[in-house]
Amino acid sequence: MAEPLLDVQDLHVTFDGFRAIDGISLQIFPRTARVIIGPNGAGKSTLLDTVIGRTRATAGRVVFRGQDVTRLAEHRIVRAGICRKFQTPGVLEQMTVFENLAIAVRRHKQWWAHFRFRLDAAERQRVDEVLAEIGMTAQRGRRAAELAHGEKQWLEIGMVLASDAELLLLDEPTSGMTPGETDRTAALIHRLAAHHTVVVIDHDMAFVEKLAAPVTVLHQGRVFKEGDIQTLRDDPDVISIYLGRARRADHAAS
Amino acid sequence: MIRRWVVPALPFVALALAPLYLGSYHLTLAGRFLSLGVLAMGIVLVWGHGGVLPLGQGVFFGLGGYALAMHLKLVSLPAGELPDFMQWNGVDALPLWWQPFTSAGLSLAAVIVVPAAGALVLAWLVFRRRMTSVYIALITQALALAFATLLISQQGTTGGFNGLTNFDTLFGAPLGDDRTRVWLHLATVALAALAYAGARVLGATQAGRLVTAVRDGENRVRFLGYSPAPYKILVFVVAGVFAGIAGALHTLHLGLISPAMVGVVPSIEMVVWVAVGGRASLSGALIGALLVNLGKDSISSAWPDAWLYIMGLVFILVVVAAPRGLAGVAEALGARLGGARASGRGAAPVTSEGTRHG
Repeated sequence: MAEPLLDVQDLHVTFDGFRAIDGISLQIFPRTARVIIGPNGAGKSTLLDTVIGRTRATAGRVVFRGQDVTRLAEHRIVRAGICRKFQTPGVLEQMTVFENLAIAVRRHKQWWAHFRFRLDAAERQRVDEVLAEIGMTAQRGRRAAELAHGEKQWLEIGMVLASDAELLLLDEPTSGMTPGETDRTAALIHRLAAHHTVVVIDHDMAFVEKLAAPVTVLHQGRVFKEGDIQTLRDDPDVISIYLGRARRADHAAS
Repeated sequence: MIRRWVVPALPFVALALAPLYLGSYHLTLAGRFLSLGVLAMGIVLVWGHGGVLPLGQGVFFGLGGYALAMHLKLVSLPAGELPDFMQWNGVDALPLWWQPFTSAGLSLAAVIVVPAAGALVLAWLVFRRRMTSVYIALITQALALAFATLLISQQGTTGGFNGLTNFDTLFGAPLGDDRTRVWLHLATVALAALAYAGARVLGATQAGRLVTAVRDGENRVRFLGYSPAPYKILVFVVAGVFAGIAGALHTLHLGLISPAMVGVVPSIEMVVWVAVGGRASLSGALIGALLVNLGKDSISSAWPDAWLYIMGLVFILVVVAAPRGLAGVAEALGARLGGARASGRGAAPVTSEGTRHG
């Protein structure tokens, strides 16, 4: 098999003695999708935080395209080709949909390249493509603050996409979405996986099933199980970590 | 095009014609307040656009003001003689750091370069370390205090508490002369218009858009691959240059620069002008600087002690009742009169920075 695009090697992250990530190893291969699930506090978001440099690893390495990015500054990790959508939409509310994408799309992200007024033709074309991809061409002139919650989520996915990163990390892309919007998002992520490598964190089992991608279950900062969602959904161990003690108490009683 | 450039140009044209309709006292006032407006526009860039409250702009104002004042002091002397205050303090040779200011060219360059360099070093230190707005406000405030204290303590080389005054000529032209005053006024209007246009153009560049983007979502911008620090450093340095130019112009109009204009209280006053005018609006800042200083001038000549109380009251009223200042009020009125776009920009929520720290 090919070289992994993202190679997380025995990662540890400790906050004041609490082991948020306790030895995770994970390989993601190019042009694949991966779903990460797990109960609250399993370390899903912390894992993504560590990959993009928002949280620093206590031990272990994050290797991207053969380059060790564990200690790189956040913006340099992004420039290396990893971009992330956050759990709560982080769109720039005071700007229009187009301006949000325009900021994401610029190929030169050094400050001295920014004493111009407009995007170049290639960048403008890319913004149009992304708008079409996320289905928001009609909203390009609207202020992001006026968008519905689901639209903000799409816009942020669009920004991640416009950044032209190879690895897209999507943290709960469907939170706050209606079932119809969730379906559209699943279809969108399917399309993205054809040209990118996508890692998705989500809670919504119906959505995860639609993604039809390999699933990694995290629990207490470790990789708990890996497999496809149909198998994992019926796995008694997975059920018990999701339902927690209540379920175990039921078992004991019965 | 007409709305964007011609309409804003009209007030500057009207100001340029002021020598035709203002007496010499009011002409000097207009020139002084317009100089202060240049500084206020710098605060708009840092505070309004960048979301960082600068409480030490008096320092950069002082650096520009003193740079020019030192030159004016030296050229008013017969060759080989020392400025009066140096003689009184027993200084018997011109200090080394005064010597470049014998040259008009170097002094003019220093008006821009010294504040720029100071702002660059300070901004580099605080923004690279990702300090938050509150700490930056405190640090700049402390710097203003330290700068004023330093000026007062080094009486023999800075003129101490009295500052630098008694200038005779500006580049060979007698300063008290009516013609010189008209030229000085025109230069002030031109520089203010240039600063206004420069700030507008900067705001419209991609770099300018990123300044606001960093204010509204620093992390989002960082995780799109940008380092946020350079954009904050950029506006901070531009604001420092604006303050330096303002300091030099103001020194010319008033004929005096002293520590009382660069310390903590004046630095806070500068922020009040901008808060009153509207911290996100360049024209609002110009009007705020004009109105507040007009108020200060008339009130403090009637009751000298009342001014600080009144200014404090005005500031509280603005923060509570009109957080976007006069510019915000005007915009809201315009939106109401226009009627159609009820949910337009006039109703835009205020970004949390600034109101919180203001």
